[in-house]
Amino acid sequence: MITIKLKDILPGMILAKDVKDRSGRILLIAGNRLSENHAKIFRSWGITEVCTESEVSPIVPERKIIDTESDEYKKAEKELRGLFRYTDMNNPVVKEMFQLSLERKMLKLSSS
Amino acid sequence: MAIRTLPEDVVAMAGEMATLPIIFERINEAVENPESSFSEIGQIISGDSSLSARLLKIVNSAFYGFSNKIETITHAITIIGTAQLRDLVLATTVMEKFKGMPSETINMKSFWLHSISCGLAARIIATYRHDRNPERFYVLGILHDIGRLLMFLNIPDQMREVIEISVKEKIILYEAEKKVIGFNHAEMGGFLMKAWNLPVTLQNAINFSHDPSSTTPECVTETSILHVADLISHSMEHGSAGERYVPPLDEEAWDEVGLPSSILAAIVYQLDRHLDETIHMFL
Repeated sequence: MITIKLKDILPGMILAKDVKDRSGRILLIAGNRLSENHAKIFRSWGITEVCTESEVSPIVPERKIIDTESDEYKKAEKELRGLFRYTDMNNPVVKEMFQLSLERKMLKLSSS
Repeated sequence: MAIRTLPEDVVAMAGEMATLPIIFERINEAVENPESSFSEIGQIISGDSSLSARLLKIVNSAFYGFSNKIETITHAITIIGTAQLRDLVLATTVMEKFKGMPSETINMKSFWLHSISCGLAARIIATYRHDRNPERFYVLGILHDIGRLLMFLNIPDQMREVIEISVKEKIILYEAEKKVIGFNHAEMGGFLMKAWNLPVTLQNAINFSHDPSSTTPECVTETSILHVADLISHSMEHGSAGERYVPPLDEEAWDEVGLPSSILAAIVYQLDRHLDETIHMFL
């Protein structure tokens, strides 16, 4: 169990100790999975830190669904094929890394 | 016929550059000595004010997630442990040493970005495996390409030829190194770790990072984690130590790491969260 600041809450972390406000009223009981929304609510109640089971989050935020028809996809995919040219793209681990890299790249392309 | 350059020649050419920072040696001695106390080790570190400030910044970062501010080095030692702090000192002082090095053949910022990203990835993997000292994996990542840095700085002409060959023959950089120079940057790094009397795990994990199946049995975990962390960092395009492509994955190394591939998304997510802050602290 570790104590972390609200800003370090990662979605999916599991609360290890009840969160109480100053008067001792329970806001959320131990065992709940935390979301970014929880951090906001805690902050409004004057909470500054919480106890979680681990410093790492067992899950990651929702993955974006990729539109394989978009121009961004085609551009990102082409660039990454080059980057991964020496790897075995049939390997499931490499595939997953490629996919993650692709998602990030598309996010960057669409935000710029 | 030209005389072949050997790793020891590169170290000799590098001179002072390739020596282990003195402060690290002193701290290492103190950590290894069962008679020295936390406060003695603390005093040695505190004698170097910029090092102390840097270490305090690191242990107070979000990556450690301590809720109270750590104000002194002695406090930091009691919380994170002497061996872990020593590893952090190693990473910090080596980086500091090479930071201002001018080079036309390598982009230093990109080099350290890749090294830090690889260190963080290795550390995150170790945390998922519930390793007791994730810091040593962090150091491993920070130092894994130091051999290439030495080569770029001391045998730049040969390295230029390496790059040309890798482009012309469409081979990955470490293979071109082997072809042109006779040894690759991983072997150079392993040699340097040995010259610095650093632990065998550090020597072998670096030496065999691109050939994990040849590492020694007691270093398989370290070598495999480093191998995978390097791949993650390259896949996410977090800087580069000169290599422009993702190196091939050794499947046995991945099996040795022992995590499901679905965890990669979580690792990358964490890596992204901590990279900016860490870069800012070190560079």
